[in-house]
Amino acid sequence: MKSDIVYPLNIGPVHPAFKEPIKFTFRIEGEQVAGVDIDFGYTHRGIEKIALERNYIQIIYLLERVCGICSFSHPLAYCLAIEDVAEIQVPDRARYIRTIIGELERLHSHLLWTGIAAHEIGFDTLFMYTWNIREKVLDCLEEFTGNRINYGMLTIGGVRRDITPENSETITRMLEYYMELYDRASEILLDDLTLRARTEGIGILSREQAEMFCAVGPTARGSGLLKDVRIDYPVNAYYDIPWLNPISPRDIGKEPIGDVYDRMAVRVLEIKQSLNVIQFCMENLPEGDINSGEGAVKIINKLKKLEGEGIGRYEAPRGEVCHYVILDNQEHPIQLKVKAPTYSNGFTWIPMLTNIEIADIPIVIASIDPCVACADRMTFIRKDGAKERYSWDYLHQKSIQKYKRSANQ
Amino acid sequence: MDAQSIVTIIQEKLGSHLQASRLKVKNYHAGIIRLHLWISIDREAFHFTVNTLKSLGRLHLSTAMAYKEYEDRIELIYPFALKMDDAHYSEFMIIASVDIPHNDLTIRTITDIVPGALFMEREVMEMLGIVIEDIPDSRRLFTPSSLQDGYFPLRNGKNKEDSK
Repeated sequence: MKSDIVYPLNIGPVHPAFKEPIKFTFRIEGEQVAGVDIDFGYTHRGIEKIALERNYIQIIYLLERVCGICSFSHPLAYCLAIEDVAEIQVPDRARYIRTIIGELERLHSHLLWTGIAAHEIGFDTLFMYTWNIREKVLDCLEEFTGNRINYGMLTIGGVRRDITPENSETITRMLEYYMELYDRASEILLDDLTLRARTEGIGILSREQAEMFCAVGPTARGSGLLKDVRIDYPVNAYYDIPWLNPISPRDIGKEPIGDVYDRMAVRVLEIKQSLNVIQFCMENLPEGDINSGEGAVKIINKLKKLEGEGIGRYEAPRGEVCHYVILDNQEHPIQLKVKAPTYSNGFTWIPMLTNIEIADIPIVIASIDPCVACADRMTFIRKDGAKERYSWDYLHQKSIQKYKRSANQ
Repeated sequence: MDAQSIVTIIQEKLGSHLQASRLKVKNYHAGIIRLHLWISIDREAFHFTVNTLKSLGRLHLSTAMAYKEYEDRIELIYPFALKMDDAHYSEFMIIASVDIPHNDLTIRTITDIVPGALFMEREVMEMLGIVIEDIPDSRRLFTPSSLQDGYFPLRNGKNKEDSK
């Protein structure tokens, strides 16, 4: 419902519903969002600057801390950049192990996201269900790497741990578990009428806008822009997989319009794609070394005699991660630029959030799978300057009410 | 399309604006290549260069601008990914660098060609103190409003004026 009263609505900078702080200022007309402004910077830790004080090996573990969920993607992009400068050849077995870990990370990230999306629209049964089944992949990662996140698996020129026969069995059991559940889970996520009612036709990002704003990952693919670093640019073992294609809503027979449903469909289909990629890698895992066999000191000594520039790109669960390094005969790089997917996708919120209802704000914000946080409170400033505060619970309840209305129709 | 034809197209399109270029190609099996092309461009011709690259295919700014700081200038590095056809593994990197003298730290915005570059240009403005001309939004992106004007956190102090 539109109204003549226009007021700003602040959400942020800190809110437990999101993982990192960010501030949104909405311009509200009645129940509709007429405009939005985004303010970043509340969690800028200066990691790029800190990295210049660390040596080449220490940086790998520092970069695992850029993001908890993408704790494999960032150090991988850095290792690829260093390997690009130093022209280090990664053994085939290591390329496959890197692919397997990357896909396990994608699997748990997408399951996490589906849970968050379900929670944001008030479908908490689905939230509990997806987070429950997500435990299986986390257990698998824990057994394989020793940790649920921050795996410590990477080194320059390969990986640090091999896949043992016991790990292979665990991964095979995990694949069987998810393959069995997939059809039922995808049916709930893609065909449930109330879920469709809350996600179809809202938060639209057109293909042209996605391309214009340099959108990446499922956000771009949901708009029909077939952009996937795994398929556009040779990395890890992906170019060995003949059937690998970028996922699009067209794969379920739907023409993409770039709404929340399309972005969800891409993630659900990517869960199946990840399972197939892991299965392919396990079946075709080459024998051989998993790294160059050189210790940390030898690698650092080699790199400190080099100068040059390198770039590393990888498709993280949320989209493209890109690292740019410059070496100049020192024990550390003289420059490291890190780009996370939300940095590219953040701009797409503006067209997505404009002209939607207040009740749809949580799901549209969550639909790009942001790596940012929101606020526990919000302030309505009316035209006369009076302030009213509402909790996130109020907004969440509003979203649930809309979900119940959709369910009753 | 092979690496040499891509480079030839870009060289022809940019003509005399291209100051220097360096190509790095890595061959994988089955004809799959990874191509990184470094190009140096005049500041005056940079906007034209980005426009030209955009006309060649899908242009994507992969990461925020890296930089190298010298006594008299800052070299700003734009890592673009360009995809000229629909074939798999055909995207390649064009890393364009521009020299900006310390006594005139300005460059024209590219947001009119690549709107997604806005956050990255705002970061360059606040972190390095390079003025982006005609930028649609010149507010700070990451640094707090309490940070004093004229202090640029990522400058390394090679310029004598900075260290005073």
